[in-house]
Amino acid sequence: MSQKALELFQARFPEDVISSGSALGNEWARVKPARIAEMAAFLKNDPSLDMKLLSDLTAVDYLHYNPDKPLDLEDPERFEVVYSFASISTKQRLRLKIRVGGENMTIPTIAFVYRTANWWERLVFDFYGVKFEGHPHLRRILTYDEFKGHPLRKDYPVHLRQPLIPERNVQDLVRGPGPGRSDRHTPFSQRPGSRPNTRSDAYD
Amino acid sequence: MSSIQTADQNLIPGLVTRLDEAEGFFQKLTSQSLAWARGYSLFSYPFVTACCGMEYMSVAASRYDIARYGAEFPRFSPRQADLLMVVGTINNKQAPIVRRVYDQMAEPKWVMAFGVCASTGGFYDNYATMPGVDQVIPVDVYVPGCPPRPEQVLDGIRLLQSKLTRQVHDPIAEPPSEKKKNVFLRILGQ
Repeated sequence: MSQKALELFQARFPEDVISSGSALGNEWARVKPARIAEMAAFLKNDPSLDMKLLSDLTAVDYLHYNPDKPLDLEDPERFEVVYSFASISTKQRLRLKIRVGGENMTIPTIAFVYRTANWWERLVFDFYGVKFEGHPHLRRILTYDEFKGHPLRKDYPVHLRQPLIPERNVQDLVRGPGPGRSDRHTPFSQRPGSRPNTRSDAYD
Repeated sequence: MSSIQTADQNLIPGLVTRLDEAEGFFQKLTSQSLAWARGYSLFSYPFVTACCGMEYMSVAASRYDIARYGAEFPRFSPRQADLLMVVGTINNKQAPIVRRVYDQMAEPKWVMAFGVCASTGGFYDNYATMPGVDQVIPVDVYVPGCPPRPEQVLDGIRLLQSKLTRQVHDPIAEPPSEKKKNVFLRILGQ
Protein backbone atom coordinates (compact mmCIF):
# COMPACT_ATOMS: atom_id res chain seq x y z
CA MET A 1 0.00 0.00 0.00
CA SER A 2 2.95 2.29 0.63
CA GLN A 3 5.26 0.80 -1.94
CA LYS A 4 6.06 4.24 -3.29
CA ALA A 5 7.21 5.42 0.11
CA LEU A 6 9.44 2.40 0.53
CA GLU A 7 11.01 2.94 -2.91
CA LEU A 8 11.62 6.60 -2.14
CA PHE A 9 13.21 5.67 1.14
CA GLN A 10 15.43 3.03 -0.41
CA ALA A 11 16.53 5.41 -3.12
CA ARG A 12 17.51 7.98 -0.52
CA PHE A 13 19.37 5.55 1.81
CA PRO A 14 20.59 2.74 -0.44
CA GLU A 15 23.56 1.70 1.68
CA ASP A 16 21.70 1.73 5.04
CA VAL A 17 18.82 -0.56 4.11
CA ILE A 18 19.72 -4.17 4.88
CA SER A 19 16.49 -5.71 3.68
CA SER A 20 12.93 -4.69 3.03
CA GLY A 21 9.59 -6.21 2.32
CA SER A 22 5.85 -6.05 2.68
CA ALA A 23 3.72 -8.00 5.13
CA LEU A 24 -0.08 -7.83 4.91
CA GLY A 25 0.17 -4.54 3.07
CA ASN A 26 2.58 -3.00 5.57
CA GLU A 27 5.95 -2.03 4.15
CA TRP A 28 8.99 -2.47 6.33
CA ALA A 29 12.71 -1.93 5.98
CA ARG A 30 15.48 -3.28 8.18
CA VAL A 31 18.10 -0.57 8.52
CA LYS A 32 21.43 0.11 10.18
CA PRO A 33 21.16 2.20 13.33
CA ALA A 34 23.79 4.86 12.64
CA ARG A 35 21.71 7.27 10.54
CA ILE A 36 18.27 6.71 12.06
CA ALA A 37 17.80 10.36 13.01
CA GLU A 38 18.54 11.43 9.45
CA MET A 39 16.08 8.84 8.13
CA ALA A 40 13.38 10.03 10.50
CA ALA A 41 13.96 13.63 9.43
CA PHE A 42 13.72 12.59 5.77
CA LEU A 43 10.45 10.72 6.34
CA LYS A 44 9.05 13.62 8.27
CA ASN A 45 10.06 16.47 5.99
CA ASP A 46 9.97 15.04 2.48
CA PRO A 47 6.87 16.58 0.85
CA SER A 48 5.85 13.39 -0.98
CA LEU A 49 6.10 11.32 2.21
CA ASP A 50 5.05 13.86 4.87
CA MET A 51 5.11 11.32 7.71
CA LYS A 52 4.44 13.74 10.51
CA LEU A 53 3.21 11.01 12.87
CA LEU A 54 5.42 8.57 14.75
CA SER A 55 2.60 6.23 15.63
CA ASP A 56 4.67 3.67 17.53
CA LEU A 57 8.16 2.93 18.73
CA THR A 58 8.62 -0.35 20.49
CA ALA A 59 10.91 -3.34 20.71
CA VAL A 60 10.72 -7.13 20.45
CA ASP A 61 12.87 -9.60 22.34
CA TYR A 62 13.79 -12.53 20.06
CA LEU A 63 15.59 -14.53 22.75
CA HIS A 64 13.53 -17.71 22.40
CA TYR A 65 12.48 -17.09 18.81
CA ASN A 66 14.65 -19.72 17.21
CA PRO A 67 14.55 -22.92 19.27
CA ASP A 68 17.52 -24.44 17.43
CA LYS A 69 19.78 -21.55 18.35
CA PRO A 70 21.55 -21.81 21.72
CA LEU A 71 20.42 -19.25 24.30
CA ASP A 72 22.65 -16.20 24.09
CA LEU A 73 21.81 -13.18 26.22
CA GLU A 74 24.50 -11.13 24.51
CA ASP A 75 23.31 -11.93 21.00
CA PRO A 76 23.97 -8.81 18.86
CA GLU A 77 20.65 -9.39 17.06
CA ARG A 78 18.58 -10.13 20.14
CA PHE A 79 16.30 -7.08 20.17
CA GLU A 80 14.46 -5.51 17.32
CA VAL A 81 13.43 -1.89 17.78
CA VAL A 82 10.47 -1.04 15.55
CA TYR A 83 9.60 2.47 14.40
CA SER A 84 6.18 2.97 12.83
CA PHE A 85 5.83 6.14 10.79
CA ALA A 86 2.53 7.29 9.36
CA SER A 87 1.32 10.10 7.21
CA ILE A 88 -2.08 11.65 7.64
CA SER A 89 -1.99 13.67 4.41
CA THR A 90 -0.61 11.07 1.97
CA LYS A 91 -2.08 8.05 3.83
CA GLN A 92 1.17 6.11 3.83
CA ARG A 93 2.86 4.01 6.47
CA LEU A 94 6.41 2.79 6.80
CA ARG A 95 8.02 0.62 9.43
CA LEU A 96 11.73 0.71 10.17
CA LYS A 97 13.37 -2.08 12.14
CA ILE A 98 16.74 -2.07 13.84
CA ARG A 99 18.39 -5.14 15.32
CA VAL A 100 20.48 -4.51 18.44
CA GLY A 101 21.81 -6.56 21.31
CA GLY A 102 24.74 -7.06 23.59
CA GLU A 103 25.92 -5.42 26.77
CA ASN A 104 26.12 -1.78 25.62
CA MET A 105 23.56 -1.59 22.86
CA THR A 106 22.79 1.93 21.79
CA ILE A 107 20.78 3.56 19.03
CA PRO A 108 20.96 7.28 18.18
CA THR A 109 17.89 9.08 19.48
CA ILE A 110 15.22 10.59 17.25
CA ALA A 111 13.75 12.62 20.10
CA PHE A 112 14.92 15.81 18.44
CA VAL A 113 13.07 14.93 15.24
CA TYR A 114 9.81 13.67 16.76
CA ARG A 115 9.03 15.05 20.20
CA THR A 116 6.81 12.07 20.96
CA ALA A 117 9.84 9.81 20.59
CA ASN A 118 11.10 11.21 23.90
CA TRP A 119 8.62 9.13 25.90
CA TRP A 120 8.61 6.18 23.49
CA GLU A 121 12.36 5.80 23.85
CA ARG A 122 12.08 6.05 27.61
CA LEU A 123 9.50 3.26 27.48
CA VAL A 124 11.74 1.03 25.35
CA PHE A 125 14.62 1.73 27.71
CA ASP A 126 12.44 0.96 30.73
CA PHE A 127 11.06 -2.34 29.46
CA TYR A 128 13.88 -3.66 27.27
CA GLY A 129 17.02 -1.84 28.33
CA VAL A 130 17.86 -0.48 24.91
CA LYS A 131 19.76 2.76 25.38
CA PHE A 132 19.24 5.75 23.11
CA GLU A 133 22.31 7.84 22.60
CA GLY A 134 21.74 11.56 22.93
CA HIS A 135 18.34 11.29 24.58
CA PRO A 136 17.76 14.38 26.74
CA HIS A 137 16.26 12.56 29.75
CA LEU A 138 16.69 8.80 29.50
CA ARG A 139 15.26 7.28 32.67
CA ARG A 140 12.46 4.86 33.56
CA ILE A 141 9.00 6.03 32.65
CA LEU A 142 6.49 3.44 33.96
CA THR A 143 8.31 1.40 36.57
CA TYR A 144 9.99 3.02 39.53
CA ASP A 145 13.61 4.02 39.88
CA GLU A 146 14.26 1.24 42.42
CA PHE A 147 13.27 -1.40 39.86
CA LYS A 148 16.09 -3.73 38.87
CA GLY A 149 16.17 -5.30 35.44
CA HIS A 150 13.87 -4.82 32.49
CA PRO A 151 10.51 -6.57 32.89
CA LEU A 152 9.57 -7.31 29.27
CA ARG A 153 12.81 -9.08 28.50
CA LYS A 154 12.29 -12.78 28.01
CA ASP A 155 14.87 -13.61 30.67
CA TYR A 156 13.07 -11.59 33.36
CA PRO A 157 11.47 -14.10 35.80
CA VAL A 158 7.72 -14.27 35.31
CA HIS A 159 6.73 -13.98 38.97
CA LEU A 160 9.48 -11.71 40.21
CA ARG A 161 7.92 -8.70 41.91
CA GLN A 162 9.97 -5.94 43.50
CA PRO A 163 7.79 -4.39 46.22
CA LEU A 164 8.64 -0.94 47.50
CA ILE A 165 7.39 -1.51 51.05
CA PRO A 166 7.54 -4.64 53.23
CA GLU A 167 4.60 -6.95 52.73
CA ARG A 168 2.45 -8.67 55.34
CA ASN A 169 2.49 -12.41 55.77
CA VAL A 170 -0.99 -13.39 54.63
CA GLN A 171 -2.60 -16.65 53.72
CA ASP A 172 -3.25 -17.36 50.08
CA LEU A 173 -6.81 -16.28 49.35
CA VAL A 174 -7.08 -18.17 46.09
CA ARG A 175 -5.97 -21.56 47.27
CA GLY A 176 -7.29 -21.17 50.80
CA PRO A 177 -5.76 -22.44 54.02
CA GLY A 178 -3.61 -25.53 54.01
CA PRO A 179 -0.33 -26.54 52.45
CA GLY A 180 -1.28 -25.33 48.98
CA ARG A 181 -0.10 -26.76 45.71
CA SER A 182 2.38 -29.56 45.94
CA ASP A 183 4.66 -27.90 43.39
CA ARG A 184 4.52 -24.45 44.94
CA HIS A 185 8.20 -24.57 45.85
CA THR A 186 9.19 -25.77 42.41
CA PRO A 187 10.54 -22.89 40.38
CA PHE A 188 8.23 -21.83 37.59
CA SER A 189 10.83 -22.65 34.98
CA GLN A 190 11.08 -26.26 36.10
CA ARG A 191 7.37 -27.04 35.97
CA PRO A 192 6.17 -29.05 32.97
CA GLY A 193 5.33 -26.99 29.94
CA SER A 194 7.20 -23.89 31.00
CA ARG A 195 10.01 -22.15 29.30
CA PRO A 196 13.59 -22.51 30.54
CA ASN A 197 15.02 -20.03 32.97
CA THR A 198 18.05 -18.23 31.63
CA ARG A 199 19.20 -16.84 34.96
CA SER A 200 20.04 -19.54 37.45
CA ASP A 201 20.19 -17.10 40.38
CA ALA A 202 16.77 -15.57 39.77
CA TYR A 203 13.62 -16.46 41.64
CA ASP A 204 10.74 -17.39 39.39
CA MET B 1 -19.34 -19.25 97.44
CA SER B 2 -19.23 -21.98 100.04
CA SER B 3 -15.91 -20.78 101.38
CA ILE B 4 -17.33 -17.40 102.45
CA GLN B 5 -18.35 -17.50 106.10
CA THR B 6 -19.15 -14.12 107.52
CA ALA B 7 -22.32 -12.15 106.92
CA ASP B 8 -20.44 -9.16 105.54
CA GLN B 9 -18.63 -11.27 103.05
CA ASN B 10 -21.89 -12.97 102.11
CA LEU B 11 -23.20 -9.63 101.03
CA ILE B 12 -20.35 -8.86 98.72
CA PRO B 13 -20.93 -11.41 95.96
CA GLY B 14 -24.52 -10.33 95.66
CA LEU B 15 -23.50 -6.69 95.35
CA VAL B 16 -20.77 -7.49 92.85
CA THR B 17 -23.06 -9.61 90.78
CA ARG B 18 -25.59 -6.84 90.56
CA LEU B 19 -22.84 -4.37 89.68
CA ASP B 20 -21.63 -6.78 87.02
CA GLU B 21 -25.12 -7.08 85.72
CA ALA B 22 -25.47 -3.33 85.62
CA GLU B 23 -22.13 -2.94 83.93
CA GLY B 24 -22.96 -5.70 81.53
CA PHE B 25 -26.22 -4.04 80.68
CA PHE B 26 -24.49 -0.70 80.22
CA GLN B 27 -21.78 -2.32 78.14
CA LYS B 28 -24.29 -4.07 75.96
CA LEU B 29 -26.27 -0.89 75.51
CA THR B 30 -23.12 1.06 74.63
CA SER B 31 -21.88 -1.65 72.29
CA GLN B 32 -25.16 -1.88 70.48
CA SER B 33 -25.53 1.88 70.20
CA LEU B 34 -21.98 2.27 68.96
CA ALA B 35 -22.42 -0.60 66.52
CA TRP B 36 -25.66 0.89 65.26
CA ALA B 37 -24.12 4.32 64.91
CA ARG B 38 -20.97 3.09 63.23
CA GLY B 39 -22.62 0.52 61.02
CA TYR B 40 -25.19 2.87 59.57
CA SER B 41 -22.96 5.89 59.06
CA LEU B 42 -19.99 4.41 57.21
CA PHE B 43 -17.99 7.26 55.75
CA SER B 44 -16.21 5.66 52.84
CA TYR B 45 -13.04 6.74 51.14
CA PRO B 46 -13.06 5.37 47.57
CA PHE B 47 -9.51 4.63 46.45
CA VAL B 48 -10.42 4.12 42.80
CA THR B 49 -7.63 2.96 40.50
CA ALA B 50 -9.26 0.93 37.75
CA CYS B 51 -12.40 -0.11 35.89
CA CYS B 52 -14.18 -1.21 39.09
CA GLY B 53 -14.69 2.52 39.59
CA MET B 54 -17.54 2.37 37.07
CA GLU B 55 -19.24 -0.18 39.26
CA TYR B 56 -18.55 1.92 42.33
CA MET B 57 -20.32 4.83 40.62
CA SER B 58 -23.24 2.55 39.89
CA VAL B 59 -23.39 1.49 43.53
CA ALA B 60 -23.22 5.07 44.71
CA ALA B 61 -25.78 6.36 42.22
CA SER B 62 -29.52 6.27 42.56
CA ARG B 63 -30.34 2.87 41.06
CA TYR B 64 -28.49 0.76 43.62
CA ASP B 65 -27.96 3.54 46.11
CA ILE B 66 -25.44 2.68 48.78
CA ALA B 67 -27.12 5.42 50.85
CA ARG B 68 -29.86 2.95 51.77
CA TYR B 69 -27.30 1.32 54.05
CA GLY B 70 -26.04 4.55 55.50
CA ALA B 71 -22.78 4.69 53.53
CA GLU B 72 -23.94 7.48 51.32
CA PHE B 73 -21.25 10.06 51.88
CA PRO B 74 -17.88 9.44 50.23
CA ARG B 75 -15.26 11.55 51.93
CA PHE B 76 -12.26 12.42 49.82
CA SER B 77 -10.01 12.87 52.79
CA PRO B 78 -8.76 9.83 54.68
CA ARG B 79 -8.89 11.80 57.93
CA GLN B 80 -12.68 11.93 57.76
CA ALA B 81 -13.31 8.40 56.55
CA ASP B 82 -13.67 5.14 58.41
CA LEU B 83 -14.17 2.74 55.48
CA LEU B 84 -11.40 2.47 52.90
CA MET B 85 -12.75 1.01 49.69
CA VAL B 86 -9.86 -0.17 47.53
CA VAL B 87 -11.50 -0.18 44.12
CA GLY B 88 -9.28 -1.64 41.43
CA THR B 89 -5.84 -2.99 40.74
CA ILE B 90 -3.05 -2.07 43.12
CA ASN B 91 0.43 -2.39 41.70
CA ASN B 92 3.79 -2.25 43.40
CA LYS B 93 4.24 1.41 42.60
CA GLN B 94 0.93 2.30 44.24
CA ALA B 95 1.26 0.14 47.34
CA PRO B 96 3.09 2.80 49.41
CA ILE B 97 0.29 5.26 48.60
CA VAL B 98 -2.43 2.86 49.77
CA ARG B 99 -0.46 2.15 52.91
CA ARG B 100 -0.09 5.88 53.58
CA VAL B 101 -3.80 6.55 53.03
CA TYR B 102 -4.64 3.70 55.40
CA ASP B 103 -2.23 5.07 58.02
CA GLN B 104 -3.79 8.51 57.74
CA MET B 105 -7.27 7.23 58.56
CA ALA B 106 -8.38 7.61 62.17
CA GLU B 107 -9.38 4.58 64.24
CA PRO B 108 -11.73 2.79 64.07
CA LYS B 109 -11.25 1.96 60.41
CA TRP B 110 -12.27 -0.81 58.08
CA VAL B 111 -11.16 -1.85 54.62
CA MET B 112 -13.14 -3.33 51.76
CA ALA B 113 -11.34 -4.94 48.82
CA PHE B 114 -13.61 -4.15 45.88
CA GLY B 115 -13.23 -6.62 43.01
CA VAL B 116 -10.82 -9.49 42.40
CA CYS B 117 -7.85 -7.26 41.61
CA ALA B 118 -7.94 -5.66 45.03
CA SER B 119 -8.72 -9.03 46.65
CA THR B 120 -6.19 -11.33 44.98
CA GLY B 121 -4.62 -9.54 42.05
CA GLY B 122 -7.18 -11.07 39.69
CA PHE B 123 -5.81 -12.30 36.41
CA TYR B 124 -2.69 -10.20 36.79
CA ASP B 125 0.21 -12.40 37.74
CA ASN B 126 3.26 -10.43 36.74
CA TYR B 127 6.07 -8.13 37.75
CA ALA B 128 3.87 -5.11 38.42
CA THR B 129 0.69 -6.14 40.20
CA MET B 130 0.34 -6.79 43.90
CA PRO B 131 -1.56 -10.05 44.54
CA GLY B 132 -4.26 -8.48 46.68
CA VAL B 133 -4.21 -5.32 48.71
CA ASP B 134 -4.01 -7.44 51.88
CA GLN B 135 -0.30 -7.75 51.16
CA VAL B 136 0.09 -4.26 52.63
CA ILE B 137 -3.04 -3.46 54.68
CA PRO B 138 -5.50 -5.65 56.62
CA VAL B 139 -8.80 -6.22 54.81
CA ASP B 140 -12.20 -6.83 56.45
CA VAL B 141 -14.43 -7.62 53.47
CA TYR B 142 -13.48 -9.12 50.13
CA VAL B 143 -15.95 -8.53 47.30
CA PRO B 144 -15.17 -10.80 44.34
CA GLY B 145 -16.16 -10.16 40.74
CA CYS B 146 -14.56 -8.59 37.72
CA PRO B 147 -16.11 -6.15 38.24
CA PRO B 148 -18.54 -7.11 41.02
CA ARG B 149 -22.24 -6.59 40.51
CA PRO B 150 -23.60 -3.71 42.62
CA GLU B 151 -25.65 -6.24 44.57
CA GLN B 152 -22.43 -7.97 45.59
CA VAL B 153 -21.03 -4.68 46.87
CA LEU B 154 -24.19 -4.03 48.86
CA ASP B 155 -23.87 -7.57 50.23
CA GLY B 156 -20.31 -6.70 51.24
CA ILE B 157 -21.56 -3.60 53.03
CA ARG B 158 -24.14 -5.72 54.88
CA LEU B 159 -21.41 -8.20 55.81
CA LEU B 160 -19.28 -5.40 57.19
CA GLN B 161 -22.24 -4.08 59.14
CA SER B 162 -22.89 -7.50 60.64
CA LYS B 163 -19.24 -7.61 61.63
CA LEU B 164 -19.57 -4.18 63.24
CA THR B 165 -22.67 -5.15 65.19
CA ARG B 166 -20.91 -8.18 66.63
CA GLN B 167 -18.11 -6.07 68.04
CA VAL B 168 -18.05 -5.65 71.83
CA HIS B 169 -16.94 -2.31 73.20
CA ASP B 170 -15.70 -2.05 76.75
CA PRO B 171 -16.92 1.27 78.13
CA ILE B 172 -14.50 1.18 81.07
CA ALA B 173 -10.85 1.22 80.20
CA GLU B 174 -9.68 -0.57 83.37
CA PRO B 175 -9.10 -4.29 83.20
CA PRO B 176 -11.90 -6.21 85.01
CA SER B 177 -9.78 -7.82 87.69
CA GLU B 178 -8.42 -4.45 88.82
CA LYS B 179 -11.91 -2.99 88.72
CA LYS B 180 -13.35 -5.72 90.90
CA LYS B 181 -10.50 -5.34 93.34
CA ASN B 182 -11.28 -1.64 93.72
CA VAL B 183 -14.95 -2.41 94.29
CA PHE B 184 -14.05 -4.87 97.03
CA LEU B 185 -11.77 -2.38 98.70
CA ARG B 186 -14.40 0.34 98.55
CA ILE B 187 -17.09 -1.88 100.02
CA LEU B 188 -14.81 -3.13 102.74
CA GLY B 189 -13.83 0.45 103.57
CA GLN B 190 -10.12 -0.04 103.00
